[in-house]
Amino acid sequence: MTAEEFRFLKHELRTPINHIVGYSELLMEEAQDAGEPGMAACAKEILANGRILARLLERELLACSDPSNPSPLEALRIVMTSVIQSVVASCAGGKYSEDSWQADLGRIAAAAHRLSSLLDAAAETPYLKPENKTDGRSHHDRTITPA
Amino acid sequence: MPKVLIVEDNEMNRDMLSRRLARRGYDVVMALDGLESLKIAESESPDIILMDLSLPVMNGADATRHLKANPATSAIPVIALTAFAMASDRSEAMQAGCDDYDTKPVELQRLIGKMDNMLSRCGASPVDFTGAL
Repeated sequence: MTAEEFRFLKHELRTPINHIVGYSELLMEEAQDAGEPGMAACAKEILANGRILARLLERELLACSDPSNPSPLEALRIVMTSVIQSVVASCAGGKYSEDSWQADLGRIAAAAHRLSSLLDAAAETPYLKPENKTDGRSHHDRTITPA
Repeated sequence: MPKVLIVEDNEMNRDMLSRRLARRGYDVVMALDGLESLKIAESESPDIILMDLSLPVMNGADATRHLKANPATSAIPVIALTAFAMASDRSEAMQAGCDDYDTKPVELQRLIGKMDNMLSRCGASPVDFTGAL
């Protein structure tokens, strides 16, 4: 994998993790303000898993740049899958009073599914090509629909 | 209340960051691409700009060059935000004229620290963080 391909991959995978972390932090703040410990605890759990995903990405993606590794993204997919499943399970775990919280949980679940789809696709074809954003650096030429 | 222009094409990133900053008392305006950011920077006169680097129509580095070349917007501090997180990205952002750089996932406390530092330097009042919550 070239340095540029590595950059694209890292960017693509970080974006849904950013959504998981950001929305769970937002949910936690709002739930704490509203005095909703159940929602706050759920958001805290999602946030912890989101941070684990971010750390795993940083750690495991380094191995992907090793040209001697025949399936560089398989290990990343394996270690992330159970954490992604935990995030999805947390999002489906309860009903909360605020409609906006349900919507945010839906966004987190969608981000988790997108991350999973990206990992699946990248593990099959790890070499990404840039799409035509103006800097030529972001998005690749495969459309991956969240599960 | 400081006015922040968020330049971000990703709807979820925009939604998250705008809501979190609004909760802390910032007045938030948004642009979806680099070209739009030039227009909104002139019309809204924000106190600070958070600029994604990878944008449609005009990328964040080019938009920053235009903003810094325009006397009407050159004094507005620009913080680059990107999920790329490579050393070369920071270098590109700073060469384009960005005043600071931060990575996504956003660590809000760190970002707010950078924003307040910039706002203080420019003479704008940072948000009273404790009172805003």
